[in-house]
Amino acid sequence: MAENNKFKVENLDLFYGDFQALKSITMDIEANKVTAFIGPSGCGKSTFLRTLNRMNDLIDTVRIDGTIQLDHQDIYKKDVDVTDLRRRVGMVFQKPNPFPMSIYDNVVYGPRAQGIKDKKVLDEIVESSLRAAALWDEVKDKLHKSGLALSGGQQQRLCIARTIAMKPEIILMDEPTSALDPIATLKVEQLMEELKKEYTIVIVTHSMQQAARISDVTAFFLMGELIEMGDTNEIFSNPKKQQTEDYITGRFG
Amino acid sequence: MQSTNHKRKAIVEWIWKHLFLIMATVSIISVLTIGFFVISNGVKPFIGSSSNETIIYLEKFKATDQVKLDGELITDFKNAIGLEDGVHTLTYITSDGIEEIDITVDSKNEDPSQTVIFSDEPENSSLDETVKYTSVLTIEGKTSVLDRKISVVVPEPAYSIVDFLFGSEWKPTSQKLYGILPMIIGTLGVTAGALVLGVPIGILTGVYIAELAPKRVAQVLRPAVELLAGIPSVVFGFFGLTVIVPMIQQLFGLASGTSMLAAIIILGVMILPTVISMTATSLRAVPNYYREGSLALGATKIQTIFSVTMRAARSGILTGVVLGIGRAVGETMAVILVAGNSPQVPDSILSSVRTLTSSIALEMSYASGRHSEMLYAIGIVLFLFIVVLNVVIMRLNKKAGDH
Amino acid sequence: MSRKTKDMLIKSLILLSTGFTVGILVIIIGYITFRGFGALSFDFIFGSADQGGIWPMIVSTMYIVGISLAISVPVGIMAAIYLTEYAKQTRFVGLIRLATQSLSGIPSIIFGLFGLALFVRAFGFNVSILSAGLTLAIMNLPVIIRATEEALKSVPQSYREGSLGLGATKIYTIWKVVLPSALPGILTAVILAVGRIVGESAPVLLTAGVLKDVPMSMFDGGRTLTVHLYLLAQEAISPHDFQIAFATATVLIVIVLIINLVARFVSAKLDKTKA
Repeated sequence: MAENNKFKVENLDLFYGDFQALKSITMDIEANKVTAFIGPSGCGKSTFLRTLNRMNDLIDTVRIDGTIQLDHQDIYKKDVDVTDLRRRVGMVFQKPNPFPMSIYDNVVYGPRAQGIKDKKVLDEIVESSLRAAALWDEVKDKLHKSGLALSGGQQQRLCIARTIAMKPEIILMDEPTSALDPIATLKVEQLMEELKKEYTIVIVTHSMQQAARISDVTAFFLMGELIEMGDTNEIFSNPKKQQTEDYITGRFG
Repeated sequence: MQSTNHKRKAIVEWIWKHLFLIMATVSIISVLTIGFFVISNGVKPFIGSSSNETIIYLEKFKATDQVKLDGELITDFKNAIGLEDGVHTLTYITSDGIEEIDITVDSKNEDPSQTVIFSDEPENSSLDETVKYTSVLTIEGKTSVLDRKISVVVPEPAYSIVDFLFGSEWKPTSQKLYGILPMIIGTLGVTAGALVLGVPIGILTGVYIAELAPKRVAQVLRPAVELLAGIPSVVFGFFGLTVIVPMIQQLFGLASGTSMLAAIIILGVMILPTVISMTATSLRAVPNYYREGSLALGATKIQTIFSVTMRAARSGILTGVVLGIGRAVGETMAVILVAGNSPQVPDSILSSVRTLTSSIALEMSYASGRHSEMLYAIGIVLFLFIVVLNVVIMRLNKKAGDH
Repeated sequence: MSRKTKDMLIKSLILLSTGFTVGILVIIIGYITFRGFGALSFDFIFGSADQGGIWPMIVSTMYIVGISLAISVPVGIMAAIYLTEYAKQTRFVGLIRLATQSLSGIPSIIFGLFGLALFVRAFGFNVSILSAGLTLAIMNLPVIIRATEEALKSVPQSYREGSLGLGATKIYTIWKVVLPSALPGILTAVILAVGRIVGESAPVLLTAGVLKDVPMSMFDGGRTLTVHLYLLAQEAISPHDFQIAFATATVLIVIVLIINLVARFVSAKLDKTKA
C-alpha cells in the first residue's frame, strides 16, 4: 500500500494568525482512489484540502508546520514551482467559477498559461476535456458563447473540464456539488465515477451520503484534528472512534 | 528544463511585482510632495524675515553713468547689492552732473518708516516711501521713461499668524499687510449661503430619485444629475455672469450685480449634484425591510421616508453635505467671475466678496516674494479646512458602520 | 393639518426641488447653446485666435489631456494593482488609501500652487503645457487609483482562485482574468478623468498660462478652452466678444455631453458583462 501513495502528510499544523486550524495531521492519500473528507463545518477539512495544492498561500496570515510529500517530494520546499504543483494537482471549487470568457477559452486557459499556442493542439484539448467532463454534447455547438451563460451544473462540469485540460495527476474538489440542484449533483457524481479510473480524487463534502456513494476512503475531521480514516464501508458501518460514530449517526454536527 | 522554466517565471513575476511597487511608491511620493511644497512655501512668512539682508538696486542707469557705493565703483547695474545696517554713501555721476547722498539703514527698527533714511533729495529727484519696507529715489530724466531709480528694500520681519488669520486688511503690495479675515469670512459666508440654498433642494431631489420617481423617470434624472456635475466650473461662472449678475443688478437697482448673492446662487447650484447623488445612493442602500416595517405599521410613504428611511441613510446624506461644503470652499473660477472680489469684509449679501481660493488665482500670476508665500499660506488654510472636513466624513462613516 | 395634506405638501416640495434641479440644468445648457450656436462655424473651431477662432485652445487642451493621461493612467492603474493584489493589507496600506481618498477632496487651486512651485519654478519647466499636464496628472492620480481599486475589488475572488488553481502565475492571472474583468470600471474612471481635465481651469491658469498660440513643444505655454472662456468673460466688452465666449462655452458643453455619453455606454457594458 505504501508504494501506491500519492500524498504523504506528516504532522501538519496550520495557523491563521494565532488560531490553530489544523492540528498535527498525518495521513496518506492513495493513487487512483476517491478519498472523501467529512466533518462538521469549521472542522478544517477544506483548509486541509487547500494545503495540498498550496492555495492557502494566498492568505497572508497563514503559517504551516510539518511536511506534505507528493511522490516523495516536499511540496513546501523553497524551490518548488507552485504553478507547476497546481498544474499537477488540479482543483474544483465549491461554487462554479468559470471565467467571464467563452467556453473554449475557459477550457484552454490552463494549457495557454503553460505556453501552448498551437490551435490544433488546443482544439483537441477542448474536445477531449469536454468529453471527459461529459459536457461535449451539450456545448459543442456553442463553444464560443460565454461560459457564464451555462446552467449551474454545466458550469461546474465546465470547471472540471478546465481542470482536466491540464492533465493533472490529482483533482481536489471542494464541496463541488453544494451549489447545485439534485439532478446536476447526480451528473457530477456520475462524472466522478468515470474520472477515478484515471485520476486520484480528493473530495471535501458536507454530505455523508455523497461520501458513502462515491468514495473508497473516508477521513473524518473534527476541530482541526483527523479523528479517523479508513475504508469508506468500514467507517460508515463500523467506526472505531466514538466521535465518528456520533457524527455519522447524526448526534451532532 | 523544468527548473529553468521555473526560474524564468519567477523572474517575470518579480519584475512585474516590483514595477507595480515602484508605481505605488511614485504615487505616494508625488502625493507627499504636494504637502511638502505647499507647506514649505506657506510657513516661510511666519518663521523668519522675508530675506536675509537689505538690498539696493539700480534701474535705468546707463553704461556711461558712474555710481560709487562707499567709494567702490559699481560696474554691473543688473544685480542687487546687499547693504549692512549703518550709514552708506552713494555717489553717482551722470550726464547731468555729480550727486552724493547718505543712506542710513536700520533694518531692525520697529517702525518701518525709520528703516531707511536718505540724507536729502538731490535736485530733480523725488523720494517715494509709500510702499512699506521699500524706498525709491527717482532721478528725473528728460521723460519719465528715462527716469533712473535707486531702490532700497528692507527685509520684512516675520509676520504674526494672528495678524494673518484675523487681520482685516489685505494690502499685499503697498502696505505689506496680509490679513485674510475678509477672505475667510467671504468663503464661510458664501459656503453657508450655498448650503442654505443647495442642501434642501439637493436632498429633496435625491429623495425623489431614490424613493418616489417611476423607474423610467429616475433613469433620465440620474444621467441629468451626472451631466450637471460634469459642466466645467467656468461655464457655471460664465452663466452666472451673463444671467444671474444682471438679474441681481436690475432687481436691486445696484451699480454692479457681482455680489455675494450671485456667488451663493452659483455655488448652490454647483453643490446640487454632490448632495443629490450621495442622498440617492445612501437611500437606495437602505434595506427594504425598514420601509416594509414602517408601511406595515400604517405609516404613509412620505412618513416612512422621513421618519425611517432617511434616518437610516443619515450618515450618507450628511457625507454628501460635507462633500458639498468641500466643493463650495474649493471652487475658484466660477466665484471669481460673479463675486466682485474686493478684499473687504462684506457688509451685506449684495456687496462684493472675495474668497480664499479667488485670492490665489487672482494674484498668483504677479505675486513675488512674501506676497507669493502668503498665497501659499492661504493654500495651507484651505488644506487644513479640507483635512477637518475629511475627519468629519470619517467620523460619519464610522458612525454608520457602528449601527 | 391632516396627514394627507401634510403628505401632499411635502410631496409638492419634493417635486418642486426636482423641477428646480432639472430646470436649472436645462436653462444653463439651453441658454448657452442657444446664444452660442450661431457663432459655431468651421472658421471658429479651426481658426487661429486672431481670427476669433479657438483651434489653439482645442490643441492646448488636447495636449494637456494627453500628457496627464499618459502619466496618471499607467502609474495609477499599476499602483492600484500593487495596493489590491500584492500589498499585505496592513495599517500602512490603509493609511495610503486614506491619504489618496483625502487628496481627491482638496481644492484644485492647491494643486495649481503645487505645480507652480514644483514644475514651473523648481524644475524650470516654466508655464507650459508640460507643467499643466504633470500637475493635472498628479491631481487625477488619486482618483484613478481609487476607481481602479474599486474595480479590482469587485472582481470575484473565485476568478483569481480558479486561475491560480489551474497553475497560472499571479501576473498571468492579473493580465488574463482580473484586468479584463475590471476594465469597464477602469475605463469609465479614465473617461470621467478626461472630463475633469477638460473642465479644470484654476490650476491650468497657474501652470499653463494664457498664451494664445498653438504650442509647438511641451515647453510652450498654452491656453485651454476653460481659461479662454474665463479670460473672455473677464475682458469681454463688445457683443462680438460675448458671442465668442458663448460659442466657446457651447463647445465645452458639447465635449462634456459626449464624455458623459461615452462613460454611460462603457459602464452599461460593465453591467452587461456582470449579469
